[in-house]
Amino acid sequence: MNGDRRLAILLVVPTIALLLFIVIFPMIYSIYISATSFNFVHRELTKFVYADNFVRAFTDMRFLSSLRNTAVLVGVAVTVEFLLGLAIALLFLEPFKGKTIALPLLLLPMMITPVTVGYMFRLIYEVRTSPINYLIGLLGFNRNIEWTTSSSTAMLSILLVDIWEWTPFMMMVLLAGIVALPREPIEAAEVDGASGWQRMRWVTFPMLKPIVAIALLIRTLDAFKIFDSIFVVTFGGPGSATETGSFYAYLVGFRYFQMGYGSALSYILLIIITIVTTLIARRLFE
Amino acid sequence: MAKEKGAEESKVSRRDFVKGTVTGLVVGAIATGAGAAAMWPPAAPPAGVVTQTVTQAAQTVTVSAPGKPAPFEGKSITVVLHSGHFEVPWRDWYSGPIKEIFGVDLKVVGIPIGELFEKELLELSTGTGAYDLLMFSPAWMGDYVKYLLPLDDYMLKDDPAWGDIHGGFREWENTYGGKVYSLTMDGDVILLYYRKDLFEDPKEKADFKAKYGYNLALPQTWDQYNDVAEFFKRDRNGDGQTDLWGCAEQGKRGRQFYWYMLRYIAYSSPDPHLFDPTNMKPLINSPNALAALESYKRSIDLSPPGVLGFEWDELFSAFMNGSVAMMCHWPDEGKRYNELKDPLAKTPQMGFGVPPGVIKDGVLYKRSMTFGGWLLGIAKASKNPDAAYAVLRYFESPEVSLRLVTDPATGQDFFRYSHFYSPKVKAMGIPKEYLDAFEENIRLLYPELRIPGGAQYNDILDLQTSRFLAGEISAKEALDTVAKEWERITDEHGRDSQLKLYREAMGLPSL
Repeated sequence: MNGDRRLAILLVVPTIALLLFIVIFPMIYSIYISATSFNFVHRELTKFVYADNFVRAFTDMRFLSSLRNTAVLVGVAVTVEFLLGLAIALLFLEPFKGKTIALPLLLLPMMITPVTVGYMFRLIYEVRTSPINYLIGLLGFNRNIEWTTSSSTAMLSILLVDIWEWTPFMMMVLLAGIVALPREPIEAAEVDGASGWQRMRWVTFPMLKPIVAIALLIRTLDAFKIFDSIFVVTFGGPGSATETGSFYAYLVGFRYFQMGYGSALSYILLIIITIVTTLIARRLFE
Repeated sequence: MAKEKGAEESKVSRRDFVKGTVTGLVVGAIATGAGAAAMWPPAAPPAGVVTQTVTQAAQTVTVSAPGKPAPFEGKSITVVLHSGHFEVPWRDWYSGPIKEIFGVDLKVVGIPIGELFEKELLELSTGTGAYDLLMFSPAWMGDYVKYLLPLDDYMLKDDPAWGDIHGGFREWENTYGGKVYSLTMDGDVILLYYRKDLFEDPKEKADFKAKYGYNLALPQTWDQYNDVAEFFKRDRNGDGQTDLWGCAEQGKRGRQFYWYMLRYIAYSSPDPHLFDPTNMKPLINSPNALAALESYKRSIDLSPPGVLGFEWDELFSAFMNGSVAMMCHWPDEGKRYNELKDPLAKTPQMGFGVPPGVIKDGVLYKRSMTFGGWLLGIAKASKNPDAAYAVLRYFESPEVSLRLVTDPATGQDFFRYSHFYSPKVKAMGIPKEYLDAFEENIRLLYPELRIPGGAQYNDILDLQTSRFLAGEISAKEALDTVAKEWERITDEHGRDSQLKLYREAMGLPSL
């Protein structure tokens, strides 16, 4: 082995070692415990149950309900964030006064830690002191909206938190993508008499597809794992109205210490998100 | 040819890859071991030398002599606590005196409340001995007990003023299966707080009597509690908005079940149980349990809007800003009685009592509960149990604990008889009514569920009652689901084992 090759191996080895310890080993171990009834606190209860944990998940009404909540959250949040992010990105294509200040201000929400955002919104949603309720009251409507404590509005409350925090991310990715597009096809379409909407629909958007795919994939993955805002704002309540798959898996693994079942739930969620993101990637990259 | 040669040279063979990976792992392991070895064991402190400065008449003479070594010189004790204000006394006030008196180096580890259970159990279950003294909740005793050192033998040799700890805490927090595993460090109970100025107003009294047919007074039953709450719910300033609610609960998903349990225990009296103590069948869906849940729902409906989102801060604020006439809450508000405000009342006043009960066959049954509270215990795997006990006993002593429970910065509440009757507490001006109510609550204590899987049993109850309160399901469906899930958890842990531990936790003899 010559010196260059040896050096190359030595430089790569620490990363491989880290990956083995931090990623590969835990993954293999978690697959193992998902086939057991491993209880972190009461290890004497551990025994092999093979696929029982996975079968149990599909008859666990609470888990199935959490999957439904996750689907609603991911579907609505990512769609709204995309449309809103695209609209804002298009606005920023044109010059206007204060643009250089507006852009970093718009990015602020995604720089705040999710837990802090959660506590902020918890205060904003507090019924009697809510600024949102105050403004709604000024418009003549009922000002006692119980944002986080009514089953009909609790999920909306979580959606608003997520949309407020992550639309800037969508906007930033889409803006970067749009700005990097070649101008010639768009100008050629304009010369050929295409309207603004036609240029967007038939020229800009097809070129933007890869960027859109990346933005949607990243946000879908993140939205699927949402935890912090639910933990702080609603704790999955009222009842189980905002309990998502990842939150339920947390409760099972870290509150009930049923790590075997919790691991199985995590792998089911992993399979679901893999299927969803594969479908998105295939659709947008084809 | 040159290109092909370059391509071959850049290809790494499988053997090289494996060799390189193994080398990396071995180097990493050696480096980690060397680093750990460099930090252990900690250097022993120098031998103590006592220096006395003696002033004699007009001259000062300094005399140095070898002192008596502290009993645990060179030993190190690690105490793990809920991070924040609980750490302050250990780290800032008493680590020095503990070092002086016992020779012990005190290491304080603070862990956020949300992670305390998992992290402590991780250490306890792996038996590393990393933690000597642990702060834990009474509700965790069922999961911790097999990892804790019984203190009975130590207490016989060196009494921690055991009899001075209030009986309710001794029986329902520190003792398990006939042995003592901890000493209380924060005596939490649930008190009933009320607006004394409203209750004692002659017009309010007359109006209440006219409407309900009995005198307005501190409610003795949950039915009276709801009547009083309904009575006081009103718009006081005529702006069309309710600004006073009769009661408020801590209704947020997570631990709102405590407020249901207060009612369940009363409705299930005279001998309340969560499980049948002969066969471990859940009693949580009994007719009494259903009546308790309906009573709780009525209280929730009489509470301010958003009550299902009320956690500690929201409930505290709602009462302390004068918008709620009654609530059940921990002892903290009582010590801050002079902070009570109400912009629509001249002189708001805080009153204190025991949570209401239920009358059955002409007998009034009232109980309070040990929700929250904190204990200190010694890990069985501790390498210095004698030193740990000495530190525990010192910290829990009447003198040291008095300082802690009278300083609002520590967040610790009274738990010894001597706390309640000390001249220091009297001089603080804390209302006697508060102290009397606090002691009465301790006398009427009922324990939290203290068996393995306690967190899971409680969370199932919290979730289903929360779903009922949110209008998702009926009360019967909620409690039937709880009973069914509790049966599953009991079977998972082993019915016979759970029955044995439940009886031990409740102070019942073995079957």
